[in-house]
Formats: sequence, structure tokens, C-alpha cells
Amino acid sequence: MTAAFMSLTNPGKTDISLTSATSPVAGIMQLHEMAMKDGKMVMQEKAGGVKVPAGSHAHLAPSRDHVMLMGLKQALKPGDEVPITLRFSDGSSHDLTVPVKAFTEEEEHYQPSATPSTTP
Amino acid sequence: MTGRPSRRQLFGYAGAAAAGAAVTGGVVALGNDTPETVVVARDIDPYGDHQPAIAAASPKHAELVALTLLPSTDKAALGRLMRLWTNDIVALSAGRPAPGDTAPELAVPGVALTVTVGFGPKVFTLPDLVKPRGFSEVPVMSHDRLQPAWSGGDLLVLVGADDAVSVVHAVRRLVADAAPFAKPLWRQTGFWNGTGADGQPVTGRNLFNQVDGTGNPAPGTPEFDSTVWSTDGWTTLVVRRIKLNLDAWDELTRSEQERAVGRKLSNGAPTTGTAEHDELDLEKRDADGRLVIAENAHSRLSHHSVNDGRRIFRKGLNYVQDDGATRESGLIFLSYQADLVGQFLPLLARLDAADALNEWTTTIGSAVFAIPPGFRSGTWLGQSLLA
Repeated sequence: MTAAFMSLTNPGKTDISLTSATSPVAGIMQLHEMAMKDGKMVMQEKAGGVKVPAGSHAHLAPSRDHVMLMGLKQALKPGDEVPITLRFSDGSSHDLTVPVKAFTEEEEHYQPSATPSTTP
Repeated sequence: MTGRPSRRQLFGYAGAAAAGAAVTGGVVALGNDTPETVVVARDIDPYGDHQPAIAAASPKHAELVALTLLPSTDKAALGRLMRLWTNDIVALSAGRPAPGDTAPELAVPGVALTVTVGFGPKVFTLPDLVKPRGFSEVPVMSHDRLQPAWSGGDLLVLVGADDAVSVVHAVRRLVADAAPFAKPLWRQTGFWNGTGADGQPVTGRNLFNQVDGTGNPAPGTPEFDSTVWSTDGWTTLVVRRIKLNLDAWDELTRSEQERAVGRKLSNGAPTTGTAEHDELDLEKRDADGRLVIAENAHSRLSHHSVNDGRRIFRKGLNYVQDDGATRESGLIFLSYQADLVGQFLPLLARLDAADALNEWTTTIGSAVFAIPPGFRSGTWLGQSLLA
């Protein structure tokens, strides 16, 4: 699984939201949140995007909101640099380059919530 | 003034901070009745021609990690690791979590955190990589009792800060991000007090109670630059783990201890002088006609005037290694020089043959690293070697 983490700063006077992300290396990118469902922390698509309050920040971080990269078109190696374009609710967009790192958190935490949990 | 570490790389250090100018993450604590006691938290700029920790004052706390390259790590992979580490260093130096940090609250500003990265000899055996001039292994000396557990390494990360938590956190992050490329071989933790009671920088003392490093060329001087930097901005680092036999040292009288080095314990002055930075008088004799600074005194044997002008820039970190109730004490000796073969090896051979201190010191670890130049915004560590 591949996810992008970042800190977003909104210097403006009105709240905006990160509404979508694209990258040439991924077929699909989704904005995800981690939520408690039936007593378990699961990952799900974040309705309405990731809000960045006016004059404040949104931190996309492990175990919190993040950008999911799916349908990778190439293997990503640690240290590679990946271009990502972010689009916001005010119509603006921002290009950034992010470094690839190996991930330390258990990948199990990032299984989509649509997958039913197996009970023996 | 000589021997004082340069503070020009530091943002918001004493003077500027007190004037209220350009404090980066700074905290100024002024005692009500002792205005000369100024404690200033500060960050050190990670960018520059050289990796910044080398010319900066010794950190209070430091950890060195040597790593071994995984078999799959080639020139391109090493370049990817250096780009990752460069990113991490920029963030951690400013007190920001490194990208993907799983303990982001442990990254705090104002602790003067620095990271120095070096390449061991094996890196220069990878295809297409050229060894810097004057870089080589250090041969085993006759007094050495080297242990593999403290020797060698393909990569070095040296993290320093005024706060031990910050050091440990940065090391953990850098080692975690290196996991796809290299694995730790040894770790050494050390500490140094380079601040006097009045808050001003001082040379600092090792665990023999000696003022240690007085003879260094002072950062910011032409002597420092020609001693440390090669023409292409590299330097070399020798790391020697030196065990100190404190029990035997404690049996000596104070004058015997001073005679072994040729310097006074009180302030580091030569036994022929009064102030720390007084020049040694290597000819001076006492009433009995004996040399005041003995033939085998450490300060004489290591002095550049008797070594064809050869100098090194040495920094120390005290260490203790505990095993249950048993404690080993020592010094992590760090020597920077432009040309390891031309400057360091002749000096080491001379000290190994005759230094009075050899009776109470044993080198148990040894490693060498070539230290690439610094980086600027948009460039990365080791780019000139690996791009």
C-alpha cells in the first residue's frame, strides 16, 4: 500500500478543502481518513475532502488523514521522488514533489473498510 | 583570540538574541540578578559549503551510528538514501518532524541539532565512485586493542544536540529511513560540556579532567580552513574509541598527571605558561635542568611545530559504558583533517610510539569516513559524488 503524508498551510482568511490529488505514477488517488467502525480503526474515503481552516494547518500523517495512491504504474523505491498535484475547493491547485520512504506502521491498518473482516 | 569555536553558523546566539533580532525558535532566559547568564535556545542552519557541525561548538549530547551497506545498495540507491537523509536533516534541524515521522512531537526546535554524514572506505569500491585524495584506512597501532564491535562502517551518521531526547529521536528517524539501504553496525553515545559557568564557550574537559582541544586551529581562521577542508570542500574523519583507565590515573599525583601532557589541569595552560592559549615553551628547563614539558609529554609530541607543521582538528565526546555495576569510561576521539594520510597518520604513529598517556589509554575502536561538502536548498548530500 502507498500513501502520501504532508502538512498543508492555509494562509488565507477563508477555510478551504483539499478535494483531490493526482500523480502520473498512480491510476487512482483518494483522500482517506481513519475512523472507528464497530470498535475497529478502519480506513475510509473522506467525504468532502480534507479541510484546511483559515490561517491554520491540516496535517496528513500516519494514523490520520492521508492521500492514498492506488493502481501504481511503476514500482516506487525509497528515495524516488514523485510528483503530485493537489486540487483545492477554491479552484486552486499546487504541484509538489514528495520523497518515497519505506513505511514503518503495520499495513494492516490501511486495509479499505469495504473489505469484510474475516472471523474464524 | 584563538581556540574559540566560531559561532557564525548559529542563528540567534547570545548577542543577536539579546538584541531581539532574528531568533529562530529562540528562547531567551535572563536571570533577574545575573544578567550575564544568558541561555539561548538556537537552531543551526543545515545549509552551507560544509556540513555545519564540524566547525560548530561540540554538542552537549551526541550519537554516532556506523552502518553497513546492504548488498543491493549501489551508487543509485546510495543517492536515493542521501536525498531522503537531506530532507530529514533539513526538517529535523529546524525542529520539524521528518516526513513520515511516527513520533512527530519529539521533533522540537531550539536544541542546536546537527547531523553529519560520512562515507566509509567500502563506498569508494562501488563502481564509478572515486576515493577522495588522502583518504585511507588507519593501520592497527601497537597500542591498539581494537574490537570489531566498535570498528569500521560504510556510512556514518553523527547527530548532535543540546538535548539527548532530540538526538535519540533524530537517530531513530535517520536509521529507520536508511533501512532499505543499510543496517547499523555500531552505535556510540557521548557527551561534552563546552559551556563555562558564565555561559561562554569553553574548550571542555575529558574524564581525565584535562582541558581537551586547546591546540586546535580556531574555526574561521586560515589555519582551520587549510587543516580541515580539501580543495573540493571534503574532509576526512577518524573516529577512535579510547578507553581511559581512570583507576590507575587516579593513583597519580596531580603533578604527575600534568607532566604526562605538559599542561595544567586548572585551566589547560602549558606547564611553561599561565593562560590556556599561551604557546608551549618546548625548550624551557627546570632548576635541575629537566625539560618542563617532557620529551614524551602528549602536548609536545602532538604539537605542529615538531610535526613538520602537520595539524588536525580534533573534537571529543566523553563516554561511559555500563555493564551492570561495572563502568568503563573513555573518550570518543574525533579528528578532522583534509588529508588523512598526510596529516593524521604520521601524528598517530608518533603518539603510538612514545606518548606518555599511552600508559592510561587504550584504543578499542577505530573507523574512518570521508565527509562530503554541505548542501544548499535544491541540492543534496554527496551529490557531487553520486549524481
